[in-house]
Amino acid sequence: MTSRKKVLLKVIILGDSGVGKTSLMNQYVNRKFSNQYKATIGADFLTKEVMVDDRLVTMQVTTKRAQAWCQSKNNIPYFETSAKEAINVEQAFQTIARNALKQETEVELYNEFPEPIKLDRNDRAKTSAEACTC
Amino acid sequence: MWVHPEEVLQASALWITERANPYFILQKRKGHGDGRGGLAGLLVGTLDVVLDSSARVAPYRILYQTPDSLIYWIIAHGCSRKEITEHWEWLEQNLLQTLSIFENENDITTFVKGKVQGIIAEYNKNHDVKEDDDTDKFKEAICTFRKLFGMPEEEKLVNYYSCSYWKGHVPRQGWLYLSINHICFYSYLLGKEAKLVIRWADITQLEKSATLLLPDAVKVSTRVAEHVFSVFLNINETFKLMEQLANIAMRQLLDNEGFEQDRSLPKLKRKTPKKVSALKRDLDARAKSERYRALFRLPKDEKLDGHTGCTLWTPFNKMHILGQMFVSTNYICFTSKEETLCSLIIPLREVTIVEKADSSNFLPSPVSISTKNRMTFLFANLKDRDFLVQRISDFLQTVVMIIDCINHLILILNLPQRSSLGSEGSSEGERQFNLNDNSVPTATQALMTMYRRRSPEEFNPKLAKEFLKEQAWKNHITEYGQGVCMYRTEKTKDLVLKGIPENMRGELWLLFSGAINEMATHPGYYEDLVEKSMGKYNLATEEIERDLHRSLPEHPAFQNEMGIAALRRVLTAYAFRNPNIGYCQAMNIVTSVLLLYAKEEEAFWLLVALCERMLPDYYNTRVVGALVDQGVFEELAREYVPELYDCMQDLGVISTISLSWFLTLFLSVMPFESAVVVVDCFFYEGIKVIFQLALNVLHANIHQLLGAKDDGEAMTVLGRYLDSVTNKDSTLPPIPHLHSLLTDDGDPHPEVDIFKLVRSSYEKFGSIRADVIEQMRFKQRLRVIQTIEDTTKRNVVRTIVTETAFSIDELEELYVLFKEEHLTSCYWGGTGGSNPTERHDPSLPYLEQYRIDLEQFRGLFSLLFPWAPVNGAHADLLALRFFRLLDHNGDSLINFREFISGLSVLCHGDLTEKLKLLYKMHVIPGKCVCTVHRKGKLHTPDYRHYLRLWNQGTKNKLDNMKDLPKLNQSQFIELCKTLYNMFSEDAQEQELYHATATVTSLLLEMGEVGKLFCHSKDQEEQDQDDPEEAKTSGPAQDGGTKPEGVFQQRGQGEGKEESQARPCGPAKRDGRGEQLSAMEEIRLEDSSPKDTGTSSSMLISDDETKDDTSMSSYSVLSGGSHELDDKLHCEDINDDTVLVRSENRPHGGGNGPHGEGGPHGRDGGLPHSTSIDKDWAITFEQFLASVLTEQALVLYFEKPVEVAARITNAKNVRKVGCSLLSASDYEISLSG
Repeated sequence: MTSRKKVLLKVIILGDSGVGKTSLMNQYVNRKFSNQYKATIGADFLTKEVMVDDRLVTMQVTTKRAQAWCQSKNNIPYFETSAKEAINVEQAFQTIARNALKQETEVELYNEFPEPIKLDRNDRAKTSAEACTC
Repeated sequence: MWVHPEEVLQASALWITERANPYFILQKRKGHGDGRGGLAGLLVGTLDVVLDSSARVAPYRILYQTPDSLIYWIIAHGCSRKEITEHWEWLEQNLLQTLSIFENENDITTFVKGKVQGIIAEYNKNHDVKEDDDTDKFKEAICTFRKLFGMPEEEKLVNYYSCSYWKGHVPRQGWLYLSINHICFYSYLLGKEAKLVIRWADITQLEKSATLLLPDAVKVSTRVAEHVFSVFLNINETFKLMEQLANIAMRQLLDNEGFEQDRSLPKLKRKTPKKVSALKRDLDARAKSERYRALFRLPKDEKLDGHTGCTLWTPFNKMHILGQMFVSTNYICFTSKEETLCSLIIPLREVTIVEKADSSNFLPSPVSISTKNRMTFLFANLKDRDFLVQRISDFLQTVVMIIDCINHLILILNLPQRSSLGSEGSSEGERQFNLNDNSVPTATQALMTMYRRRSPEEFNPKLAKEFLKEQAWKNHITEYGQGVCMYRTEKTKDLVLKGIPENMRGELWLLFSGAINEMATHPGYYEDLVEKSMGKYNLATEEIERDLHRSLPEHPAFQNEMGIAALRRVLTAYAFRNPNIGYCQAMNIVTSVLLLYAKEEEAFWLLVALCERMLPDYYNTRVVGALVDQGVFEELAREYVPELYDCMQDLGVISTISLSWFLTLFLSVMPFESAVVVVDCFFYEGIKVIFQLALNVLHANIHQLLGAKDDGEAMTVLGRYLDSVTNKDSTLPPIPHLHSLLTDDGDPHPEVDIFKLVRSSYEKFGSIRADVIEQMRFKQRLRVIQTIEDTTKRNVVRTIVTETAFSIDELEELYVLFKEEHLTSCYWGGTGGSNPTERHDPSLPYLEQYRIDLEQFRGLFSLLFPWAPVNGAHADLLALRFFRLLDHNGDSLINFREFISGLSVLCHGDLTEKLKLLYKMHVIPGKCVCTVHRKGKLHTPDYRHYLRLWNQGTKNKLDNMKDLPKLNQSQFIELCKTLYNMFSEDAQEQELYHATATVTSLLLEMGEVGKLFCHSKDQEEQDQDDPEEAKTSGPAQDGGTKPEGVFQQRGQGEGKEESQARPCGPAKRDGRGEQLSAMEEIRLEDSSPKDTGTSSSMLISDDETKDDTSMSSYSVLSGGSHELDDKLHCEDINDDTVLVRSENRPHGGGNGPHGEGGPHGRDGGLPHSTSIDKDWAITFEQFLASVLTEQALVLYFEKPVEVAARITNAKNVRKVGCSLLSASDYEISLSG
């Protein structure tokens, strides 16, 4: 670990009801899967500390029920993940974090529709997760 | 006064007969005139208002009765002895003699009824009783109100108060007028006028504030300003009314139900004749009833009739306790003066006997009420006992009648099947479905009974505790009674707080929530609903389906199809019952718990009680109710946990966490067995418990929260705490809670006992009163709803800002105007077809929430749109055309995007775009359909047909100007009129008129050329078409088989009014025939190589016509057509008579090739079918090219229009609510 400070990243997972936002989050944070999730009312919240390229990053993961699905779907990459089998979950969040950190140096202007972070392209979409930094 | 004869049930009760003859009796109401107030007075007062019927109680009446009949008819009543005596004498003198002539009693009855009705009719004619009988003083106030503020008749004044309005630092003494939709103030003192008009719907905050300077002031805030009023005579009354009216406005914004409610207000008023501001009394009565219903958890339509002080004998402590008795149509309720001592709800359907017991000194005027389950309640010290008992027995009679009716119906319904009601008791304890062959299967057992531990014999301290609890409740029942009518005391509450035993939950929830009442009065309703809703698919059912397995997945009852199916039925049935709510996430979680403890039908009624009474507005699309309570919670937190408040605000925690607490009553955040204890308390105490508990949870974590660095940490703290709340008494097999399941790392939080938590919440925060919460809810509701409105505005504007050249500010202003137009028409019920609920639906996507119909578009059109003519008639027509063009989906409503798209072209479009729009507007059918539209028939077949054509033909190629349909002659004439009406008030008016004249005459000629050309080319086709066309142009045609036919018909419809315009075509042709034929030949040569039987429009719109050479040839042609200009010029005259064209017409007979020449003058004597030249047509390119030849027109159409000035102007006009007053009349502007 280097002497660099901790960085807090907030990741908000949005998506249609019932697609598995909570499952994804819990697989990532707790490495667990349950088939007994209740519908999330309001927002759910978990925190995880991860190392990204030797930097300690605290990830706060929120699943949020959003009425309006994202504006443009053009830039949203589809990342095949499985919360149940824990496939690609770690990688996806790592990429999110890495990209967010990359952007850190850039202008921190938060307009209302922040640019989505581009993940690795994967066309066979099963679980789609839109990632934004906020 | 005479009244329409009505049967009266009780001739003697409550009335004393004063005079009588064989046919009539004159009666005086008991108690009248001896100056007694008390219950009677109050009852009479509220009755008039609450029951808006003619059942107003006047102190005197005359009844008619035939000697051998038992039926009485009331034929007159009077407010004074003098009035009734006049009637009586008239009867004796005029009618008695006549009646003796009849032999048959029926004849007499018919005669008397007819006679009385005749008198009434005549009286009404002479006195014109349409107006309400408000007192003169109030009528005067209404007049002043309308005059001062320019309000239309539809705006109902509720009341007015003297007060001061603070303008700057100067108080202005004047009058505050409160009407259904507006709050207005007027003062005129020492030559200074102050006037203020605010819509209730614009109010963002309404506060009773106290400052040093103004101890009693009301502050009214809108988005732009704050207004302070003070020095009221009775500030509380005024403020209460203001709140009530603002609430009505908020309900209007919130949901469609609001509209209905509001509509019912004026209607009610119109029907009932009334005394001083009956509207005010109506509102008062509503407020009273509302409080009454909330206090006793009664169904939504229950109306309070009256209340009176009394004592109640409470057998459990052998005392007479002081309190209030409330009587309503279906219930008698009692609450002790000391709030928690005792309350009682007696549904009249349970009552068997009401009797007056003997009075004694010790116990004056007692009344005993007995119920079906053999409980007897003894009330005493009733001031107006006789009246009260009569009142109750009147209500009882109706209730009994209704019950009989229902039972009868049920009997009929259930005859073929076995009665499902009866079968319940027989096989208790077993899992049971009523599987009558053709009825819907519904679970008749609470799901929990199937999963309850079955071996109580094994020793278990928890079971022993549960047994003790059950025992305690059994004792309670023996002491305080069972069922709805039980005495509810402090003891009851204590027991509830200790946790209701598992097997009594369902029953007690039903009792405490009042759901039992609705269930009892709606037998069979649920089953019926299930049957109806089965197999229906919509958005709600889709969402329900998705959440069924995510409701209470940890409980075994929902791990199999039986539980899931029951949940599905209840949720679907509810969505079907109340489409306004439909389904909202969180309902599934709550319902699954209800199903565990209550039978399916009971669970349904519990859900109804939750959604519609106990958690108002919680589950609508924007969860408004929950947001409101979240606001209340924040306010309470500031008051009760002040040390946390700043930190919570910084972290923004409250808004993140509390939504799920409220929406699911902690069910989704606490372990199940603990959360049901919360639900127990909630059903008994209402929302107050949830607030207390939420505060207590914050309080318990105060230190950790203060140390939290961000919202994430705070949320984790609270999440862990709630996870650890346990119910040690629970006999249920432990069910792992979601959160504890997932976050096992880290040290587990110490357990928190739910009962201790509840207890301490009462100790610390038990002082929060329900009515205080209600008050706070009002304030928050204003805020939440206005925030939602703002969000909607912002989203709409943001969505379309990229599509137009308007700035965000301009768009926001326009949106406000757009919405106001909608609101105004809601207030005063626009004349037109669409109803407000069609136009406003907050559950739709932002853009679709507000829409306007033609009626409202007209208003905006003339205010905002550059082309809108000043001339009224043509403006309407043009607005219609424009509206049609903008209404892409043809539903006769346009949303803001469509509206802006039109306005945008007019303001920022380039010349071609503008002209294209202008052109397209006139392709659209006009006036004919318009008249139909006004009647409210929105979709005339030909209009729709037209739209279909339009969509098919032009959907993809609207941009391609070649594909625009041709303009026929009548359409062209309309276009000319539009042009002529367009330029008034323009600086270049004269030049523009001249240019227009040139252009239009040029176009007319082109049309002629095209016609000849087309005629010679398509001779054969035309010959075939002609007969058909002649047919379609007949007046009795259904129209719409062919587009041309449709247009032609329309043209004829207009023909009568526009006969001046018609002859222009032929006249021109006559004058310039030779030149035209020459042109024709040239054109023929030009284009013939390319054409192979395509339509004439294609021919004429060939590329050459667009380039400069062809254009210049046109301008040559237009050179010498002044004579025509004059003729055309008269087209726009309409009513004015600047030019009379008839001298200009040289021809007397129908000599044109199409016979439509000049014989018809203004009134056109010829059949209309011949008056329009059906071959005549021009294309858009021709139109465009012609306009381009005139510099003035080019400049006019190229000039961008500044919309800001128009917006300001429109706002000024709108401000008044009516254009009676000019903006300058305002000394105080709204924004100031």
